[in-house]
Amino acid sequence: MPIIVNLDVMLAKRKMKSKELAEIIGITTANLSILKSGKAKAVRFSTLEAICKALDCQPSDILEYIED
Amino acid sequence: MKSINEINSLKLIIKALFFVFCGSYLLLIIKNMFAIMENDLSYINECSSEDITSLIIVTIVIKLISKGLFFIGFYHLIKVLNFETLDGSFSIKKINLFKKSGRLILLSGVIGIFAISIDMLINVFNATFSTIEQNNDFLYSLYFSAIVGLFLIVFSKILERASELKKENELTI
Repeated sequence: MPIIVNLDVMLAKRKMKSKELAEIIGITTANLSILKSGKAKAVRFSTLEAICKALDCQPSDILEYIED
Repeated sequence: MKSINEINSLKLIIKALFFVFCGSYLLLIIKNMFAIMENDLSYINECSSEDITSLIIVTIVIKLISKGLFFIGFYHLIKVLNFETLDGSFSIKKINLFKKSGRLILLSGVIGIFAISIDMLINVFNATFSTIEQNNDFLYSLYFSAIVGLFLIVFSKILERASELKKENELTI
């Protein structure tokens, strides 16, 4: 998929663990792992909003479009 | 939960009908074996032994194949019905069984219609018009069988798409 999820990078920048983020945004660590690995088919606006709020960033910091 | 209970009671009816069908199919095989052993095919067909041609034997064999295919298709359908929750019906295994039973039932209907059509033509040439009406009645059930088979194939395609959508929904974070 040409959409890359840079959640790992943002987590490293904010020095936050996946488990912490999962607890803050209210999703399971398994689902966060799916999102991080790029296996997710779609992201809800509410989830994206929660991630941006927790990591204090913009959606463009998390999602990136790279042409195949 | 209520819908599952309703489906469970309907499943029992279908399973009972399957056993009735198994019994009748077994009787048919025994009757045919008896006819072959006695060397008198008039047990199987309504025509007298002098009228028996190889074409009639072929139609009898085709009818038996058609019924056998229906039997296997029905058996697969019974296997599909063995799910505990409605979510279980989205599994690839169940969808493939639906497709398989649909194909078999459709094929059984088409082969059966072909055999009956030959039979009807033989009856027209032999001027045995009483059996034409019987065959015509049987033709309706075969048409229905073919339609049910087609419906099952379409239903399996719908289930396939539903399964894909379910997977996508599960992967929406």
